[in-house]
Amino acid sequence: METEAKVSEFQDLLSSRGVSRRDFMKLCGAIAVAAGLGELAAPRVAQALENSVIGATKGNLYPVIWIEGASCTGCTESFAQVESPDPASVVLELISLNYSETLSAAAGHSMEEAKAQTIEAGDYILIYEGAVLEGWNGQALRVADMPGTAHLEEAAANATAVVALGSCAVNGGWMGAHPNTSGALGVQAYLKKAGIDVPVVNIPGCPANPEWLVSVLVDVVMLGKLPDLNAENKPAGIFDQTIHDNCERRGHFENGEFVYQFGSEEEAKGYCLYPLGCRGPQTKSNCGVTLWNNRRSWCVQAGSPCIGCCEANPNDPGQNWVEVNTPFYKRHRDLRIGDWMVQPGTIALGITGILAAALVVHGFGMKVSGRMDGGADFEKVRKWDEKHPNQSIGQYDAAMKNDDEKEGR
Amino acid sequence: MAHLAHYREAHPLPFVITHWINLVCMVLLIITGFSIHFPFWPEFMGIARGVHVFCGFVLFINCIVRVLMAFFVKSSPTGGTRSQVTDFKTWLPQKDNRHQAGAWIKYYLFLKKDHPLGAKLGVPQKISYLLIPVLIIVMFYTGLCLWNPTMNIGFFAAGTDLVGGLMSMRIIHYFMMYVFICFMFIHLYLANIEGLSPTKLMLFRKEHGGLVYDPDKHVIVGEDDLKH
Repeated sequence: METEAKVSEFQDLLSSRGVSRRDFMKLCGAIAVAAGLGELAAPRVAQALENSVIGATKGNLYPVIWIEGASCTGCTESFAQVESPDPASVVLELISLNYSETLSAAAGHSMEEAKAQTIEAGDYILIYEGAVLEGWNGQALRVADMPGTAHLEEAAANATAVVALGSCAVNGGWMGAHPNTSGALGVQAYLKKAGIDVPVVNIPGCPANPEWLVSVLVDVVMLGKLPDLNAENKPAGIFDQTIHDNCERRGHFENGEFVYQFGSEEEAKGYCLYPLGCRGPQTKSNCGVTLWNNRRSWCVQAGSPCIGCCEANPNDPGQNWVEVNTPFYKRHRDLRIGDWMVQPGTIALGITGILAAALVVHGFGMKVSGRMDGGADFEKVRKWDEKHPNQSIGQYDAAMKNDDEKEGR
Repeated sequence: MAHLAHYREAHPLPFVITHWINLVCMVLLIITGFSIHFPFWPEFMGIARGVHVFCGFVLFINCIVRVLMAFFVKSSPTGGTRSQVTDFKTWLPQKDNRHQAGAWIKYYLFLKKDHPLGAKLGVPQKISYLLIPVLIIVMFYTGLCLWNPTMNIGFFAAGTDLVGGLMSMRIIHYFMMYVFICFMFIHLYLANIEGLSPTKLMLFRKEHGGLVYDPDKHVIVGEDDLKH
């Protein structure tokens, strides 16, 4: 089978749609400018587009398929803010992005064909962004006339590795939150159910930090191995320490300097956001080290408490970061009892209050019944002993009992 | 009014010490725990965390020591006597007094007028005291699941995974603190509602006169006023 990309084929394809070479180069220039590369990069963009239309073109670059599941494309958007190497270098020089609903200039049939050819050729990485939706027999998400789950199965089965990018891909994310009508779950859990055995690298976050993705790609493409993974198949170097461990405001935490209210003097001083519900102490990720958006800043530096978007247990959609962490500004999540959402503190204080009140009432009872001064008089005979006079344990001395009766005890 | 004499043999010195350690640790753990949950008193936060972790370890070790001592230290099986048995027998429900559970509950619900005869501890009391070591051990475990230096160790990480993550573990740890608080309320109430003598004996080893009890025959055999 023909697996080589042919520029002439590509040009035929364009001209058959009424696109001249000149129009195409103008488009490439526009894309290059939009990506912040300058018009001089247009030929590079053109080459990338031409190469990527037919997915089986391997060349020296490692093929990558980037599928959107139930996603907001926020992780793609985040990827566009990668600092090093810049997104263009990643897409043009590190990998061959053969299919991406958002980034590919091409669309429609030719894209699906590129994907099919890449899958057939094998030895590629699948990046899956967004939740897997099982709901309504898989019809909750349809792409190119197929259920979203079918696309995942097809692309994962032949992949070298699957990167579940973003908390939605790891365990359903906020789509997995109650009531989860679309049956959202993570890639790892779905593939396990479907019986597809392929290594999954989970990169949570809402969105996932692009540097984390690049670090995984660099490991796979340049070092030819998967990164060290922890028990949740997340890269251990990124997700084994808490936000709190490496937080730039940690010093203020240690000093007991806290922000209790937005807009306060303490906030202006950059104190610790713990009382505002910061999830740093229980969220495992290295955001404060890697930083975001061209590595310029991150949530806590920007003045927001961590909301725990990297909390994602790949095996349990119920443990999605939204359900686990809302309301964000309280120290605890809300507990759900039917349709009633309640803070654990309310339950605990309520029960303790009722108990205390009951003890006070009981105390009045003890007072009224005259037991507060040493208690009531002792029973003469224990009921059990009375019923079991022949048992060896607790037998009363008959003489003693008579004496007691005589003395009216 | 009627109460048994309070003799030191009911609470030998080692148990008075472990009781004091329990008392101090639990109170400090609760105060510092509230502070860690939400820094009501910000400057106290650093100290609170240090004290919390320290007291957690002390309470756990104290609990293990206390349970082990129960198997070789002797104590009186009931008030009103100076005779002693191996301590664990006084707080495990025994064949000769476990049938008194109904009597105790009825007494506390005002459904029984006279005071049940029993061992040093009433049956509901025995059961709640038996649960306390379990509670302390589970509490210690949940604490170590949340404590950074231990949270990634497999034994603790597995527990965190089982309950649905660190947030759930935090909430369990928090709820269990209230179990301790509720226990302390009930314990303080029941220990003192019929007079302060049991507390004076337990905390300060101060004896108090009263009725004398025969723990073999389960009958009151006289009175010892300790020359009051």
